[in-house]
Amino acid sequence: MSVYYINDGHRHLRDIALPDTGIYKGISASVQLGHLQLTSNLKDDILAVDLATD
Amino acid sequence: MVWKKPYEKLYPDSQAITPDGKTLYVPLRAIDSWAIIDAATGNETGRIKVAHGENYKPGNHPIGGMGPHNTWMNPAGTRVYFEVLTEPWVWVADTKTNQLRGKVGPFGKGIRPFCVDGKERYVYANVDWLLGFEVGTVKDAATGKWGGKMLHRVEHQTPAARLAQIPNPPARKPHSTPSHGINITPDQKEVWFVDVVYGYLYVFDVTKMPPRHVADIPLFKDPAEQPHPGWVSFSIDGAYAYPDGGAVIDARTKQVVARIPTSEKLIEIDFRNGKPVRAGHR
Repeated sequence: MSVYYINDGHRHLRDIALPDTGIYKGISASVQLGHLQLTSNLKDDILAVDLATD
Repeated sequence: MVWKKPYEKLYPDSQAITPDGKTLYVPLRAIDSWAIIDAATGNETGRIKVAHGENYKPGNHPIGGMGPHNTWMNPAGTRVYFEVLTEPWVWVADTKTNQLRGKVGPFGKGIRPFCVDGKERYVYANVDWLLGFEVGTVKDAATGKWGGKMLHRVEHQTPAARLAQIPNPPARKPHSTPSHGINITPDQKEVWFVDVVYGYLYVFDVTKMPPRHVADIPLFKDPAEQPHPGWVSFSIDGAYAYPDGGAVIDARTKQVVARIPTSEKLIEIDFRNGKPVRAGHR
């Protein structure tokens, strides 16, 4: 997963490795929980990532 | 990673989340249902059975798959909308009862990506084998019940100059259809959709029906480039459009303002003092 900073000309900030996942089909986020959710078709998983710690 | 839940052989596809951040609705493409998931734990709390679809016959442009595919949430989080590959309907469900309330359509062919305006008056949908989109009314005009009919079909044309630049387009269209990617601007005034074969975004004014053509936006810098955009999303404030295919578009001027490797799966999250405070949707 790649992260870009909109307010600085869409500058690339960093990449986040998500081992054992890939071929993502969906993405969403809950700011209340501080999570980002992905659906992964590599092994058919649904997962959540902590936005504070990647 | 906070949690990861296996859905082996169920093919979880493109979800939506309620604006309170608590509940995910995830289409399970291998079957006929959406999983309802507690976003805090990843635990499934229920399913909504919708449909699975059936591929088109040979000669009628069969596509690469079937099943529950895309999801849209209304701004209040009270209704969620479902699309199933090859089915010419968009279903409406109540998030309080998790029951289906109705279905919009039928559209001209199976629905692909779609969006719904903030007041839930219209569904704007890519449909199979159409460069363009169709418009359906969310509620039936006569009865007021959820699930109106298809109202308009917008068929667009790739600019002639671009057709001349690519005389031999790919035999198999990316996503098996000319338009796979549509969204409504946050101010609700325009609908943008993609041309997956020739690398364009097309803009239509939807402040009045029928939709009116506004602009064609090439995503390539050099005509030799052949981007194949499969989605378009907007920044939360509507300033930028993000088609996948490598370009960021100023939504007001319709000009490319940055070139980054944009993805079909892209979301804006705003942070304040290191904490997420606002999120958009794909």
